[in-house]
Amino acid sequence: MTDKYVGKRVKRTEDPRLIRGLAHYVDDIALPGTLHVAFVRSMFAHAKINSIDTSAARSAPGVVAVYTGQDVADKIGPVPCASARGRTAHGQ
Amino acid sequence: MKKAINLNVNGVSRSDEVEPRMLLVHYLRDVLELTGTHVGCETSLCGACTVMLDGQAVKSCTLFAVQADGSSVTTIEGLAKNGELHPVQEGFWEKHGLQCGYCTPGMIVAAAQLLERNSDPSREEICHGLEGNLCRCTGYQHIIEAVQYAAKKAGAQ
Repeated sequence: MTDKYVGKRVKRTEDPRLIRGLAHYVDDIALPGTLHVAFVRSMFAHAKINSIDTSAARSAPGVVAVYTGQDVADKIGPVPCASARGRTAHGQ
Repeated sequence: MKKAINLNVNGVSRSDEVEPRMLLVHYLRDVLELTGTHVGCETSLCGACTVMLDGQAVKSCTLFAVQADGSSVTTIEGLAKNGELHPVQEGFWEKHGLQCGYCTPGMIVAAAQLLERNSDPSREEICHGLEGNLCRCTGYQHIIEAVQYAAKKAGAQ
């Protein structure tokens, strides 16, 4: 034991798969039925939301669900980046 | 509308129909399931997606799969030959050129091309050759030593 490790350099046991491109990162895992999400952000630096028309997004092929701040407001409480109404800033 | 492409990836002929907007890296990862090539920044800054296209190291997040039609692609999975590691792969293992390993495939492919062009690079030439590849773990010192090890090893063979 001591002969093997003490004072000796030790090569990492995880490296063979990492240097061959055979490691498994989270992004490499494809589960069946995985959905992808896309965020639509405000095009305006500072503006008031009068309404959000999601009909075109909902009818796009392959779209499973569209959520706005209004849809989730009473489920998850106030979320600064998902305005249910009122004013929005760029990035929201 | 999908477009038919034919290419050779790691010595295997591939024919697929892909959307013209599909990036080469997504074709490799999602269609061919060669997930060794990583997506880091998607803006060709980080080099994690580097592959060899007709012998030239390119960032596969900045190419469309249709642009690789008719080409030969080598990914990190294709570098080891007959189970024997490429000298650069060996160097990375030997000299601790990696920690998390995320940048490693791109780093190794870029370094392999560097040595193809210059079999005995100086430290400065290695640094310059790997400028397009970012690593957040190692601080680069061990990566440079890994490439020096590979150059020496390949020179001895």
